[in-house]
Amino acid sequence: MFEDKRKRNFKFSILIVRLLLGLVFLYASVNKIIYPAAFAEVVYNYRLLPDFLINITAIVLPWIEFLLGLLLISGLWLPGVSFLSTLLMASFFAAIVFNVVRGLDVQCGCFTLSTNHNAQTRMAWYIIRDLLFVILSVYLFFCVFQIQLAEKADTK
Amino acid sequence: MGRSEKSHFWFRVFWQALSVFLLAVILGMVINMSCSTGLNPVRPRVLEQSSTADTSPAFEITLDEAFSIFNTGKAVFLDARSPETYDNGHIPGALNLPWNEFEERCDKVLGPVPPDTLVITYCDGEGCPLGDYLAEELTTGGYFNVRVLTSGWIGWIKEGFPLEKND
Repeated sequence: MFEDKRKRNFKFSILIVRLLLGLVFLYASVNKIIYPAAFAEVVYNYRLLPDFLINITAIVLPWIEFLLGLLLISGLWLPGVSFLSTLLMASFFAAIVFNVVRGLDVQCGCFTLSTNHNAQTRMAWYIIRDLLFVILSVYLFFCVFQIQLAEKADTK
Repeated sequence: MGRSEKSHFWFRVFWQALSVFLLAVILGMVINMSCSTGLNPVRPRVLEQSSTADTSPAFEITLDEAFSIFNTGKAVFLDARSPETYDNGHIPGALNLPWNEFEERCDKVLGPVPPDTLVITYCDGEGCPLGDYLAEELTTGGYFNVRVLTSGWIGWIKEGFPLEKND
């Protein structure tokens, strides 16, 4: 019975978090799919990828996000999807932190961050937001993992 | 969870994640190819096809041209960078119209500038598109004599051209 309560709690957490993350992914991906050139511009301004990877990333990344959004909302393939979500969010977080450290304002791709207070506020918000998403993704993956654990234990 | 169950879990993780990735690649390529707004996946420089930051040859002005025009005093230079960067050094006589504050400042800065004026916008340099963005806005706003100094501030300084600071 204790195990059932734990399982229910985990399942509830999974439901809430996957709906939230799913909506975030769907919302984030739509504009990028409709305007790939504008998104390619953003990717370029991050100054992280070699030129030949920029367009491919601008084409594929939004679809990864879209599919993750759909799958999260429908609750399918949670192990792989929550893992990929964590990977993606962690990458975005690392990218933004790296750029803040080297003083790059990603909105324009210029190294003017040290002198632009508006941009600094913007970048700080990106960091907080991305960190939040990483934490949610990790937590989701953890819960999914725990459910697997509980379900395997139950079938013994 | 025993070792075999754990590895079964990670096995699922791997295949599910890989499937999503491959599906995204296929979807992305197919939609991109069938769409008129699609990108060329192989073309190296994205800026070559991005309409928002493309300095078409007609817009560009070289450092030498800009400098000779500067000496005649016949052009208005617009600095697209942040106010702090502008204060630290700008082309003498240049007005500061930071791209991030375009809406708020454009009336005040451009009010006294007639639309037939030769306006030269600039930013840091080749890597910064803000000069191009300013130029586009100005053009849609009725200024028909706009140029972009693509070499930007860095190019100007490298040539040892004069500068002005606000202390």
